[in-house]
Amino acid sequence: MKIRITRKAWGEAVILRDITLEIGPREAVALLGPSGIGKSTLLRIVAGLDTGFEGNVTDAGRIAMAFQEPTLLPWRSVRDNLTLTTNCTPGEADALLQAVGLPDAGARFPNTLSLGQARRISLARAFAMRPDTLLLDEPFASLDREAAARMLALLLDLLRDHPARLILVTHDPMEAARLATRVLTLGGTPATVQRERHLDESPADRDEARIMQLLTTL
Amino acid sequence: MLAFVLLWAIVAVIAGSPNTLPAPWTVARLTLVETLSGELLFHLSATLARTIAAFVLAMGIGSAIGLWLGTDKRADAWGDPWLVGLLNLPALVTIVLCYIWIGLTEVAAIAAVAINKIPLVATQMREGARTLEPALRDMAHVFGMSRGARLRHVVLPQLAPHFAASGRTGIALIWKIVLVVEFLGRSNGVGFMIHQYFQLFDVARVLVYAISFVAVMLLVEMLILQPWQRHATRWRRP
Repeated sequence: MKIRITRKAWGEAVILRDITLEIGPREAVALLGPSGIGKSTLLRIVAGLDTGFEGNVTDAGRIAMAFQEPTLLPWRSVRDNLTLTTNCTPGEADALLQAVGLPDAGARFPNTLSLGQARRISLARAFAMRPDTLLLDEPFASLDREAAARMLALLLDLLRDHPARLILVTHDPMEAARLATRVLTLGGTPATVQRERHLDESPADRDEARIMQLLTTL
Repeated sequence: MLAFVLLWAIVAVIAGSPNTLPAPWTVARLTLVETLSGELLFHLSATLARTIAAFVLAMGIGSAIGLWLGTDKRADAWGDPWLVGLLNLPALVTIVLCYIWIGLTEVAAIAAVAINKIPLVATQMREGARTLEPALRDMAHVFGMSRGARLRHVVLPQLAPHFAASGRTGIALIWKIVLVVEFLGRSNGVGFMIHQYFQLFDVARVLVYAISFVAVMLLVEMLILQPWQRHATRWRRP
């Protein structure tokens, strides 16, 4: 997959400039940077939601996204949310609900779920697409530490069973250290890639000591 | 309801003028007579059929226009003055013009009623379309939902509360205009019968037809509109 953004502006203000990325099919790229730098804008460009930029995105394959808010259809049951948006079968939906630890949630409506549960459903929906490229926009924001850690472990499990190229937007270096195979730090005005770090081993093989060591270098 | 009938009975007895204000039991007896003769049901069903036809037309066309104006700024800029103009067009003018231009036909009657209601539906649905959730639109785009699926599962459920509100106020307005249309140019229906008995100054029978149709509309509200609205908004209840 290739991402080339020569210029992205909001009115007169240029947000992103000269960003060129090549991401392999099993890579997990974390985009780090302070709030408002343009990380989510970059993700929206990759998702095809923002077309007002100079450059192009090619070979992304089938894309799925888990948004910052779960964005479930509130008038449909959890199972319908998976089947109607991704065309997966009810059986596949139930298997994914099992995988995200909510095997009995199929018939429930989204307003009966906690934020953490709704995020897990949103993740299940993204995997139900069988994506080649999975985009995650701050998937653990506003979760307490325990819920965030559980969901992070869940994401690693899901990626092991359903491999996909991952692009994760986060402002938390800890999430990048746990999930990514490559960490890009955006900075400057307009934003560009200021630092790029390839991490050798698979995220699943990292132990706590290695994660803590990585944290000091990101 | 009982208190209203009781008050009506007391006022009727005090007034002592059955020609101007007949007592409830007189109206009840005549309702039975008209029902047994088949007249009441015949005219009620004629009015109900016109009401349903005009309702379906007005809701369909009004919703489509409202959705279009609410999601397309250029169309809204062009359509807004038209909408304001049509909203201020008196019902009577539309009815008279439809009868003159189309003729004293069923098509003219139903068209006149629908034209009166379409701008109101369009205005309410436009407000609904303006508040569509952009996050859900983005989600539908990323997940590649087809246009039909987006409309059915993402857009229309968001418009449902506006559609329900518009439908409930609409049905009340529509049947009243249907009565005027029948009064002016049809040979059956509740409006036509009220016209007949108005000329004879038979207030009791005017009340028989008016109250019967109000009862029918109350049943429609309780048996169809309210349960449908409850079903459409059941996801809001935890």
